[in-house]
Amino acid sequence: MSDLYVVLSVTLLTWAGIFLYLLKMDSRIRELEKK
Amino acid sequence: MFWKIVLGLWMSLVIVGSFLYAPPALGLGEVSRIIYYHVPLAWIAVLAYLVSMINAVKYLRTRSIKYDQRAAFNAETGTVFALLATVTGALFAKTTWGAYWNWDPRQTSIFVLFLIYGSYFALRQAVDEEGLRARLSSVYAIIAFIAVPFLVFIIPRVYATLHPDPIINVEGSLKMEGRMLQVFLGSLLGFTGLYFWIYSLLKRIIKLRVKGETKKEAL
Repeated sequence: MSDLYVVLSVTLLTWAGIFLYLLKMDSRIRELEKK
Repeated sequence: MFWKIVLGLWMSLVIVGSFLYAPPALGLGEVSRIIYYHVPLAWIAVLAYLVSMINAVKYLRTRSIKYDQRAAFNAETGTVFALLATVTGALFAKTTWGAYWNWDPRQTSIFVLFLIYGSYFALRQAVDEEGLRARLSSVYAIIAFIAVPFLVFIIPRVYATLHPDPIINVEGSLKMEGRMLQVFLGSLLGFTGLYFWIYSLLKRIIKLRVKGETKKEAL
């Protein structure tokens, strides 16, 4: 059961990384669009 | 911005649900949880290839270079998602079939799909002149997509395969348990939202790029 939680945590962390990266890219593009 | 936050929370919920809410599939055990990622990844690959084809058609009709760039970006996106689907499928294969790769019809057909789209990228690299590259690769993208339904949906169902049965079977009925189906459909929706976010970012980058090139030419 603990292995399941490890995989869950890794998956959630991976998703968090992808999500934050896309948000960062979104805001950088928005800055460039304003220029 | 609001829908992006909702998407973030939705996918987090799907991930938690895929491990803690949905039960493991009978006979397959915990490894069956990969289905909540593997199938949506494959679905997004097909969607991206479809959008690539649509943009290729738009380019041939309008000769606006932005459509060619969108087609190329979508082909890349589709290939990345297809690769991820293949990797997750290989992980499942190792656990259930004993080997990462054994030339199962499903695996072979996805390999052929990679060859087809690999050729698309090779074609784009081989042609320097922008207009010619766009025309050739647009025609190729349309023809390449004609192969996609055969390779992804038809051929793996024609030949005997180790790949699990599709959830919508030949009788037209859903064979998934209730909670599994909820998480599965939630994952499909989440991944689709993720794809459209990536696509909207790509369109905005292309618009900025085209604007930048126009300014350069004006100077």
